Formats: sequence, structure tokens, C-alpha cells
Amino acid sequence: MKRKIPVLITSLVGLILLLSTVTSFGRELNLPGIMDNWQLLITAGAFMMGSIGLTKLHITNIVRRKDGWFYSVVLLVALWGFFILGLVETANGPTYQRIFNSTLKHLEATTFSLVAFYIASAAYRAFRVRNIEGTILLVTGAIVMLGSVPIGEAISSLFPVVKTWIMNVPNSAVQRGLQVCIRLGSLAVALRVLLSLERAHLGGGSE
Amino acid sequence: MFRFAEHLTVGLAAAHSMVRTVDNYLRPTVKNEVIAEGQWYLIILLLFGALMYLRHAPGINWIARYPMSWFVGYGVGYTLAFTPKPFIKQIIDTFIPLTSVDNIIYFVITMITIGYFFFTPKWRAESRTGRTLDIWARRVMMIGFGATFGNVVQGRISLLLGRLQFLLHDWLGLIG
Amino acid sequence: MDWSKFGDLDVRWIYIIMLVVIIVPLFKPLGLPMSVSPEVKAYAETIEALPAGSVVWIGADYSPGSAAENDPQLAATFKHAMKKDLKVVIVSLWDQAPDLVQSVITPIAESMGKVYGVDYVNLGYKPAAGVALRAMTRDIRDGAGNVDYKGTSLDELPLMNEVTALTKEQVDLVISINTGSPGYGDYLNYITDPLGIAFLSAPTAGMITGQMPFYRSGQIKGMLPGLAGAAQYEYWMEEPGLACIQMDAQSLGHLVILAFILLGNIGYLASRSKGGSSN
Repeated sequence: MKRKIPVLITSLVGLILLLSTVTSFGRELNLPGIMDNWQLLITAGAFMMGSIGLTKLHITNIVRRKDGWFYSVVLLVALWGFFILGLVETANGPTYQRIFNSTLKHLEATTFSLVAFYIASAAYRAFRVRNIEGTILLVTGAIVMLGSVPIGEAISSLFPVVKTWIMNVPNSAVQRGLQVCIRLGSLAVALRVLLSLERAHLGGGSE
Repeated sequence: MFRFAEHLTVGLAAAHSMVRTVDNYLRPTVKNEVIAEGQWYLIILLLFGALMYLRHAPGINWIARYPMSWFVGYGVGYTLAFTPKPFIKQIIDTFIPLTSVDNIIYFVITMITIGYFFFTPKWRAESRTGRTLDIWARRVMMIGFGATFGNVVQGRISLLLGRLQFLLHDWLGLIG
Repeated sequence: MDWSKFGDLDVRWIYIIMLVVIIVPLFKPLGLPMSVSPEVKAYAETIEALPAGSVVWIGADYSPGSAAENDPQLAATFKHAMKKDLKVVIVSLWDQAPDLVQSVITPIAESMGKVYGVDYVNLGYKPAAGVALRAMTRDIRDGAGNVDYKGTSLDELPLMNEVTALTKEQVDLVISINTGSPGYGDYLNYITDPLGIAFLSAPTAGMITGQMPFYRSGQIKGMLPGLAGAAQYEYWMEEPGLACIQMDAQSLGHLVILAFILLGNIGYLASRSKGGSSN
């Protein structure tokens, strides 16, 4: 009941979807369409999953007065306050939009933009030509960086040409090799899950 | 201040995701399909998805395995159904006529990279061919990682420029 | 001179120098010449080749975190499409994208006299990514909850009465403006490859390397790599905009980082030759 039925559901759903997508019989019955609509609804039903996990974690922080518990209060107030406002006003409401445009939009953009400074300091501290591999990485990175921007072309017209070649030939080959291996791996895991050989998604716990 | 901003961002972002899901899917679906068209059975599916929340309830968290098994089965089915086609196109494109230097380089590098992950570290360490493959695979992969590094730096600087543009133009009006 | 000291600078100097060097060209542009790379040219020419009235499906799949790169890409693409009198349907698989999309496309559409619902529609955010897309290949209303980003019923939008499903017969081109997952992968796996619709991609710079194999195999017909790609596109259209303005600053930013890497290595090699090790 606790493990056997979920394993059965996984295999059945996977098999039905696979067969209904690749066979004309399944398509005639519109099985993929039906299951897609079910999936949308089931996913929508679990839409609060992340927020509930966050809430549980931060309430624990507050109750146990862990270091920085005040920030947990800020998070929970922002989370549920903004959510309730959105329910009342909808996401296109004036107050909601004002809060989104003046806070979240800029907070997120700024968080990611700070990485530019960290990349500069990390590159300065870590990129040392200690061996052949490090040198190759550095030289390639430098050529790509200069070839992507106008100043590279101003320094030498070869930079954009070599950069295009690097991106199209060696880089593309490496990425293809990586992606072939990743996709083979994902197909193998998918097959294992379908055949009930892989049950990690059920988690631990009692039978 | 940074931690305050960080927690505020996380809270607002999580809330926004929920609000958008309600606005753009849940509310219109319930209003149009469930209530207006009388498809009340759809509520069962919503409740089935909601069983995921029981993951946090001690003692009955095993019930969350049911919707989880649906999600995994669904993902697995579509991975097997849809992934092969673009993947096979990639394989076909790898076996190109070896009539130019670029094509030869492309083919060899792809094979070396695949070989690096295909063969076990044990074989690569113990055999001479494996050791050679190891060395050359690392070197060619560094080209790919170097290109990625160059592009990531480019991306991050662009993001910083976006913020500076906002500060200097939109907010302070110092630049045109 | 003790060169080994260059390997041990206080990082705050790096931050300050980088900030100053990047800000200066925003005040005083250098006017560096630009050229258009082959993948950007392919992107632009694919859109240029479409006859008026063709339907372009744009997947705007990004968040404010990457808006600095993706907004100029979307702006340039949308502007080109409106100039060519193409019909545009925009959908987002990321929840924060619809608001960003509206702030980009509305001023462009208004300046060109384009009408929402007739010339372009923003369907808004659709949860469950690839599932929503697959549902839209059968019936857009099914996958989109029958509403656009504002909650307006799709029945009230004339364009959505012409474009009822994401199929090869009704959609002539799919463009993905992306920064991660969900994004181009969903379009490639579920839409463009299975249905045979032409596909263009406008990724952030960090995502370019992973998409190059698909560009090379022809599964992606053209690419706009990051902000530089958007700048080249604006240059190709002979309408330099925000992206072009920032290219000088971008150039100097790259030079600064390379200069610091060089300094660090000079310091490292100097301290190695002295017999110590620099960090």
C-alpha cells in the first residue's frame, strides 16, 4: 500500500504515456491530451509545496530563536502578506504591481548582478597557469571574451573569427559529447524507473 | 541589510510564483471548467496534487508518495517518448563526412569526450590507451569549459550593466 | 620592483576599479565599431524572410535576474516582428516574466501603432512548463487556461481566434528567449523538433555554449548570444538601442577582468620564481 501502489502508479503512468505518444492508437483516444490536462491540474494542486517547506523551516527558526530569526519573520511576512494581497487584488492589481516593480524586480536583478564582482575577484585569485589544462582554459576564455565584444575586433580582426571557430567547432564538439552522455544517462535512469528498478523517488520511511 | 534583502527576495519570489499560478491557471480553470462547465471531477485531481503537502505531516507523510509517483511516472514517460528524436539528430550530425579539417577535429573531439565518460575510471587508469584518452579528453574539455567561462563572465558583466543603467539613467537621470 | 605583490591585491581594489572602468563609457561612449556574427545574422534573416501576417511564437522564459540580457533581446525581436507586420504570441514558462514582457513590448507596440489582441498577445505565465506547451499543441485554450496575462478571456482577442493551436500550420516560427530551464529545451523537445517548426534561440551568455550543438545541427536556425547578440541585432536593423550603448562598457569590463587575471598570473609566476607561492 505504502510502496507497492506508488511503484505501480509510476510504471503504469510512464508506460501509458510512452505508448500513447508513440502509437496512433493512443493518439486517437487522445490519451496524451487527457493526461496532460490531468498533469496540469495535479501540478497546480501542489503549487504551495515550496512555500509550505519554507514556512516550516523558518517557523522552526523563530520558535527556537536561532541566530538571525528576525530575518525569518521578514521572510514569512513577505511571503504570506504578498500572497494574500495577490489573491485579493490579482497579480495585475495596482498595489501588487507597485510592490513587484519597486522591490522584487530590482532585488532579484541586483542579486544576480553582484556576481560580476565576485567573478572578477575569483578569476583574479584562482586562474593560475599551473598546468596545460589551466592554460588551455584561460586562453580559450580570453579569446572568447575578447571575440564577443567590439574591443576585441578593434584590437585584432582575428579575435571574432577565432572565437566563432572555437564556439562552432571544439566547444560545440565537447558540448555535444557531454550532452550525448547526459541524455544516455537520463534515458537509462528513465528506463530503470519505468521498470521499477529505481525507487529513490519514494523516499525512505517504513513500508 | 544584505540578509534582510535576501530574505525579502525569497519571500516575495515564492509568493509571486503562487499568485501567478492562481491567477493564470487555477482561478480561470475553476471558474470556467469546474463551475461553468460542471466538470466537478477536476477537483479530485487538484486534491490529488494537494496530497503532496502531507509530506510535512509526521505519520502520514507516505501518502505524498502517490502524487509524487504520478509526477515521476509522467516525467519518465515523456522523457522516453520525446528525448530520443532531438538526441538522434545530434548523433546523425556528429557522423559528418570527414572531408575538411574542421569536420575531422569536430568528430575526434566528440568521440574523445564521449569516450572519457563512457569508459570507467579504472580502465582509463590501468590501460595505456585509457591514460592517453584521459589526458587528451581533459585538454579538449578545457576548451569547452574555457568558452563557457568566457561567456559566463560576459553574461555577469551584462547583468551589472543593466543595474548601472537603471541607477544612472532611470533613477538618477545622469546619462542619456 | 616586486612583481609577486601583484598576486596578492586586496579584492576591494578590483571591485572599485571594475566599477569605475565600466561606468565611464556609459557617460562617454567610445563608439567602437561592431560587426554581426553569423548566428545573429541567421537569426535576423530568418525573421526577415517571413511574409507579413506570419505568426511568431515567442517563449519569454526569464526572470528579473537575467532581464538585463533578455529584455534587449526581446525588445529587438519584437520590434523587428512589428516592423514586418508579423503576428506575435508571447507565453512565459517563468512566473516573473509576464510583467517584464509587458514593460518591454508595450512602449514598442504603442510607438508603432500596433493593437493588443490583434497584432500581438501576451498569454502570461503557464505553470508546468512542457506540459502546458504540449497541451497548447492541441488547443491553446487548454494549456493557457483560456486567459491571457491579464485574465482576459482568449475569446475576446481576435488574434487568438486565428491562432488556436501551436502547430506547424498555424505558427511559422518559434523563438525562445531563455536563461535556463524551463526554456529552449522544452521547445526543442516538445514543439519544434516533433512538429518541424523553425526555431530561434536568444539565450543569456552563460547558456550559449550548451546550445551551440543544436545550432550546428540546424535544430536551432539562429541565435542571439546575450547582450552582445542583442547589440549586433540592433546594429543589423540599423536601429542602435540600449544594447549597443552598453557594448563599450561591456568591452572595457572584459578587458579589466583579463588584466586582473594577467596581473594575478604575473604575481604567481614571480613568487614561484622567488621560491615561494602566491595565493
